[in-house]
Amino acid sequence: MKKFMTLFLAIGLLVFPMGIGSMERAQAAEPIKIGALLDLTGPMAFLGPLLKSGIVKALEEANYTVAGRKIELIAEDTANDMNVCLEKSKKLVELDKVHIILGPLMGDAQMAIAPYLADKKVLASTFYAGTGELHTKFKNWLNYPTTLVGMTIPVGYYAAELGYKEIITLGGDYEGGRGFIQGIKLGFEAKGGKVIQQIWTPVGTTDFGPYLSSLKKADCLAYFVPAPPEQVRLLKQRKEFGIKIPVLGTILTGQLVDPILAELGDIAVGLQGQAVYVPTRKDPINEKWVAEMTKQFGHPPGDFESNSYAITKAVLAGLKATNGDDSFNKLWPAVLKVKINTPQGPLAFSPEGVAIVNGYIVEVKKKEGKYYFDIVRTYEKVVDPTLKKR
Amino acid sequence: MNVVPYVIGILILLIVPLFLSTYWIGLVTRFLIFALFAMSYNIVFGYTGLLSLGHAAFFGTGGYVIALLHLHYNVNLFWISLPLGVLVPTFTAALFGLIALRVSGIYFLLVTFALGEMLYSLAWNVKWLNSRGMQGITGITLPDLAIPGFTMDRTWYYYLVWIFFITSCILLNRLVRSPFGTALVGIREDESRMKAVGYNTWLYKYLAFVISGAFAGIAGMLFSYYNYFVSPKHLGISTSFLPMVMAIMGGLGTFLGPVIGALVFIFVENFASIFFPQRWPLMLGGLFVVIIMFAREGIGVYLWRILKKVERRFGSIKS
Amino acid sequence: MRWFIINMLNGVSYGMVLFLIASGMSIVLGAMGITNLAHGAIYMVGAYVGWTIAVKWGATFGLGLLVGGLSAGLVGLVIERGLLRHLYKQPNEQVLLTFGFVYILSNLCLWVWGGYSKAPFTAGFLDSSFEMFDFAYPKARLSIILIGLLLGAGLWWLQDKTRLGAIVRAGMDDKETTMGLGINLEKAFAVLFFISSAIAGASGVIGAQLMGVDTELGMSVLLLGLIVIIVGGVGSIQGALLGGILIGVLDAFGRAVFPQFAMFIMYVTMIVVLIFRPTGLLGRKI
Repeated sequence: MKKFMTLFLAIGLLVFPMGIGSMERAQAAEPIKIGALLDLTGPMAFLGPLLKSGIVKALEEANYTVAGRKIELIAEDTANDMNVCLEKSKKLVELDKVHIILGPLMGDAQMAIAPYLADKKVLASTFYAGTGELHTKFKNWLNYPTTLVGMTIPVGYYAAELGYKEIITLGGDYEGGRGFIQGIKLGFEAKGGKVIQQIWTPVGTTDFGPYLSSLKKADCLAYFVPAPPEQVRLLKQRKEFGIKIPVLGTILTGQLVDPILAELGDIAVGLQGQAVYVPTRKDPINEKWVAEMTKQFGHPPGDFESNSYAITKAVLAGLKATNGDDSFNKLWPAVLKVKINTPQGPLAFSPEGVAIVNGYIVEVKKKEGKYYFDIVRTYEKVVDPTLKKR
Repeated sequence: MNVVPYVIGILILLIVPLFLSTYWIGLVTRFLIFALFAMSYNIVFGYTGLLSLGHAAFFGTGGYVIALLHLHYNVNLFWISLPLGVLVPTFTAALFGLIALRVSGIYFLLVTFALGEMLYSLAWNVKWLNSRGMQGITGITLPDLAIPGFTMDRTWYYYLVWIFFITSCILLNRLVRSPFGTALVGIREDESRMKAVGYNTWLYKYLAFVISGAFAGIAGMLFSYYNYFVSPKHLGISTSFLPMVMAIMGGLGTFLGPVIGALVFIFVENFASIFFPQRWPLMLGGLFVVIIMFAREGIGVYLWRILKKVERRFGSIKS
Repeated sequence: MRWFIINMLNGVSYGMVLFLIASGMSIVLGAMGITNLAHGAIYMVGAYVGWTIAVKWGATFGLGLLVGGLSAGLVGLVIERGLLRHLYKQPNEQVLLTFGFVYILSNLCLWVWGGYSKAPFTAGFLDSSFEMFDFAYPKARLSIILIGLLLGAGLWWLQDKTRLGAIVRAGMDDKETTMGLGINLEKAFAVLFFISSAIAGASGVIGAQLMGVDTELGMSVLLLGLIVIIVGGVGSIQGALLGGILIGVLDAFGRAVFPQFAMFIMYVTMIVVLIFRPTGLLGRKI
């Protein structure tokens, strides 16, 4: 009996003051609030701070102001969990009253919150590619640097240009992996090549031995694996098993950051593959940015900082064009018209919200004991052809 | 039976939407769903003593039924989804119960765990169980009650969930106070004695398992509407663990313990992950350990004891 | 033929790691009746410590293995002596407590070692391959098989031929009598838990040659261990070995033949064993 009393009183006591609190917060809505959904805990926790630093840098450059209005960044942890991500989105939209949300990183979390954000008319953005599905069903997503498929089409082109006729693909078996591999296949077959074998590895595969031992004879192995340690394992195990077939990798600069590249050592020299952002790119905007980021955050920037920086710059440019109006109906068309130069390269948007940027093929080189990436081919204005078909 | 506290409680829950913004209504909805999930778990674990580590299998199945009906058949009618959402998890529990109850104790735990993980793996890999573009199914919309002139929104959904919660509370309460419920406790305390007296203990355990699964399925069904999506994670250990924590935290084997546990968990989680996102799992683990070591019968019972002490003090003042 | 041998060796080496994981769990589960869900997390701690020693500080792999094992053993001992000891007859509380430690330890590892997973590492002299027949096979994997067999033999000796083993087996079957005979069961249990955790930590370092180290190992290793135990049976080293090798080999060939459903093979095996032999292939009756 008394337990019931305790229980219901407890609910009342806990819940009531929060209600009051939320009413208060609704008054102070003057600054433009930008929400960010970041992985601060969980398996991708190391990426959260990197993404945040890119956003912060862009906001700092604008002095946290645009068109006379102050900007407030509210960052929330998604814990790499779709549920948590949805709950945080609800908080950002309903309590903090944001109209712009940057992130989340993970594709399934994006799809999970997409219906809600579309319903609430929030401008959203991916951090590192997202499925094309985001644009077929919803019309409020910016996709940077492009869709999953768009990112790896250059790999397919490059493989064909190297003279390969038949290749094998190896990819992580989940939506992200399937998208990336599809890009490789599209690009390669568009130039007349043929994918003769496709291997799918379950997420969290620690041991590529069984897959490496079942490779057929081909000109090249093009791969995508979801995480840096997996790429390291794949490359090391390839050497251990004495596999000679040439490889083309993906997300090279994104996954093989300096400490990891150092761990790979000489195995990596000569590795070629796709990259989103290349720190060594010769360009005044880039060189200045790299120097400033390195000084401010203590280590050279990589893909994640570059991506979030570019997106934030684009959103800021859009806000400038709307004169500080962050409502969706005004901001969305304004952002789509943005054309700027970022450290990564030139940036524009397609009518669906997909970013149009350069795709790079890089190679790992060694100089004076240090490993670094060098651009060997640039593909401009890469576009995902499958978007038109749907 | 003293009805007053119930009435007060029901009133509080009823008028919640009137004061609070949609965000908090959402949180209370979430609480009710998990309270139901935890109560269902209490039947198999608290009352019958069967430690199952795969309870989310039924929760997730309920959710997936709704999701699949929506994805492949475009069915949003609540009156079709509801029966299926109850039947399929019940059937799953019936099947899993047959496998898991072949063993007991530690093995039972292992088996229920692995069965749950197996469903997780299935949900991840089988194409038919996923929307394009993700692992899981997204785009679930609030149920359509087919009542002319009425549109479901999140506030009305809160009331729907509330109705399910109260109804389940009443049903489950009836169950545990019945001879069946008492038998379950008997089995938990001393199974061989129950057998000696002539009870078919396997049947009782099985029924408890299935009923428990059915209510978990209902909670899962309600959750999928609330969440707009289902994911393989809803079938695995990370979700199975939640009702366990809530039930134990709140007081195992007491009727309302799980509800208190759910209340505490949902709200603490909400705040902790805003203020200390990086250390929240650490706090959660620490909280468990503390409760286990010092408030073993759960917070609910602990609170009750404190209340009793306060009562006594006031009582002595009065007289 | 080459395909067959490679996959067989892959399967057996992976199976050995599984065996090591399961043996530690099985000892505690079978002999002490304690459900230690933190076993995977202790594995992870050992692996991280081993990584620090062998990779970060550049000491030898062997030292990493030793210190990793010992520190893990220590963690286990602290949990057992400080907390678990009070919960002997309460399986529910044990589960919650040890599971709580999965969260605690995972988050602590995240705090100390950061979010980047660590790549697989091995001893310097093992970092090359044996030329056999017409292919190369990594020495590290062969060493895993060897170590696994050695440890297995050691544990079997402990279980069947030593006083400690006898005490524990007796205590498992009849606690009162054993204690009545003046045997310090408490001390034996503490030692046993230490050994089990030390094995977990050492397996972490050994397994790191294949799997690297990350903060999700707490859960993933737990699941693997439980599956192997279900298949092989609780309470015996032989069961853990059989279960481990069986699952390892099935997994290796499964991945080579139908990669998408490889994980399934494990579950199907588990269910088949459950239907026809619920206590596991070589398990004692619980």
